[in-house]
Amino acid sequence: MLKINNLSVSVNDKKLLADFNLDIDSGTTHVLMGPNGAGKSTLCKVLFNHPDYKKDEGTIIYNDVDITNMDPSDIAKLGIYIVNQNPISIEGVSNAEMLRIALEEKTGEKVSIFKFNKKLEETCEKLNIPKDFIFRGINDGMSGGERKKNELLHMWMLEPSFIILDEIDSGLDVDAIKTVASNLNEYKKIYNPTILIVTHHEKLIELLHPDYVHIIKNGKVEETGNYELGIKVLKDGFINGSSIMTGSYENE
Amino acid sequence: MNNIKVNSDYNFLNEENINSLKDNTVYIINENILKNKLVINIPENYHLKFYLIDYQDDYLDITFNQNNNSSIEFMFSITNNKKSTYIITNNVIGSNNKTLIQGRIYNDVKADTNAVINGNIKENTVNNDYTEDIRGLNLYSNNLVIKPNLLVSTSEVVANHMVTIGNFDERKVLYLKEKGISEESIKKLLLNAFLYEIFPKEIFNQDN
Repeated sequence: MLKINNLSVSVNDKKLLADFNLDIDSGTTHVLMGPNGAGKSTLCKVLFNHPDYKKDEGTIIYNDVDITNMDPSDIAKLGIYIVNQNPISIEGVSNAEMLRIALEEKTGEKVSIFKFNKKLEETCEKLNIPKDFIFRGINDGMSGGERKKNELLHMWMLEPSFIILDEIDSGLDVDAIKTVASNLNEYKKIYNPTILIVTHHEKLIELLHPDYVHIIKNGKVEETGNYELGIKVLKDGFINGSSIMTGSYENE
Repeated sequence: MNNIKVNSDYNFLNEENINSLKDNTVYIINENILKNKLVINIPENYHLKFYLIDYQDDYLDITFNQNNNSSIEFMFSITNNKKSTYIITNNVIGSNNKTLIQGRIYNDVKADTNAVINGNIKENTVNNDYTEDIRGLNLYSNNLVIKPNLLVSTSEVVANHMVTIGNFDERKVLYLKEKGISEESIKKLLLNAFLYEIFPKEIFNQDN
């Protein structure tokens, strides 16, 4: 489904990813872990061709389509979705308005307002968020936790097949983590998406039970394992928990 | 909604009819009728709300005079696509007044805009609260000048004035792209947000 081949990325001549390789199969759940500055968030942004990052070499292939230098809106139209660490707010553009346009552009068809509104309301209930979110500006006046739930509302409406979650747990309390995890698990059951998550939250890893855990250090995948590797790293730290992690962390 | 019918001589807010306004509110939506200089004297203890929405003509000159114990909330959005001059003046002559002027000026592809926002808070006045917040959107790097002239002649006042001119926030553009929205639609969404975000939402939910 997604193949990252020998990807090297830099910002202002500082190398952030170096010869990065990763294969992700359809319908699997992957967790990225690693010390601060390892390149986890960089990878998430680069997958969406963030303009601040320069790709020096390598390719990103999604379902046989080269998305390395594709416009982010075209990447999204292929069914890739991202929840960033700190989702911004856009006053004056409502969730409903944005989602209706996104769906119409993705499908090329007019959205049935009745069905659209019904699904929006049902999803709000599912996520335990007030229905007035629908007509509020995007993330406008919302707390960090509410923003993450609002991004999941968008996910349910846009029905992506590949989901990137960059520290979705930040700003969430324990109950909200459970809501998010059960929501993602429900989405997995219905749509069987591929999920790539950056997280160090034990509860989230436990609840999502990923198929693969990748440890990233110095801009490349240093070790790949299963769920147990993630739990071991959380227990023992990157130095002792992962077989290859020796020496000190490299901070940003 | 009380959408004021504007007289042909543009003298639609005078001492005789200002008190007949429903909710003390004026809406002018998508009408380019303010070709002559308009002076509005706000009576004492009067609280005026004036919403000028979607103004697209090349000239506008409005002066508000505030006496005592009044308030004004003047919100305007302008889309300009020619050589245009806009002058907005607020004279605070008395005391205990509140003023809020919020404006949005969009400089379209052929625009050449000169705007002046004058605020005069006269001497020997006290306890006035004055705020101007004007923003310009200049996507095509045309001439767009917005001068915030605030003259304060008293020390007992709270006065703020701000003008910014810029382009769309790149973070917002990227965020919307990541939802799968094309640049053309993003421009429409963000332009509407820029122009109308300052107005009460009820305005757009009513029939007229």
